[in-house]
Amino acid sequence: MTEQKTSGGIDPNTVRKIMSVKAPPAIAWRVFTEKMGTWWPLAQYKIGKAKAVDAVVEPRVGGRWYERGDDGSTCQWGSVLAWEPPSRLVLSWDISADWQYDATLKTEIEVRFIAEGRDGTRIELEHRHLDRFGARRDEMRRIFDTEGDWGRVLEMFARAAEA
Amino acid sequence: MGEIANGMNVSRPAVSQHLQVLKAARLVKARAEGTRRLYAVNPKGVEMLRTWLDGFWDEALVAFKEAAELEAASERKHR
Repeated sequence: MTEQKTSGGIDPNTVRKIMSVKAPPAIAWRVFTEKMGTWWPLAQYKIGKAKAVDAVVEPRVGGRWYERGDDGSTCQWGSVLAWEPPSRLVLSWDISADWQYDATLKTEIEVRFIAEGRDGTRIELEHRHLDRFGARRDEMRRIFDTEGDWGRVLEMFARAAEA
Repeated sequence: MGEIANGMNVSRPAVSQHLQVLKAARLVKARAEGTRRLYAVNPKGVEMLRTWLDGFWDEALVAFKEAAELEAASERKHR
């Protein structure tokens, strides 16, 4: 999918956030990675059946990013793509919009920790490649194009929806 | 969904799997009618997803800020 719509300079495929924190980069980094379970809204945002008690980022490139349930079970959310303490972290986020793990739905979260003032940090977070959700749509379209008649399928979609 | 599968040379489970992925990404909407699952294309899929993530990160980062500042304050106390 090539979505070129830009309303007011907003990139439709990226979410960007900037936040100033009164903590030096080393502490901000540590809380973000080692102590994610203390701030991640686990009550609402988790995927396992068990009550989630921690969110864990394994401290290395290729490490897993997962939640741990109170029964000891783990559910993977993604993995570590870049690990550069205390300044840059990139995670893959393999979770769909209804909070299910899907290894094929890879979006990326980059977090930069920039020293600000004497004891502060500016956090710049970018969640990008949201068009990859749309890419799945294109992939499906390709399958339909080669193995069927997409136009007919769309008609059937429409008919089925209206039925 | 049977109608979709019947229209193509793709197996029913394969179509079902693809529809599940699209549904997960909110690119299609599904509803049940009797024993049938009806699917409709959701034209606002990516836009909805973006809005949802935007709100999610606002909430998560505010919580992160509180945790990081608490940690920094506690370290200052122990220095």
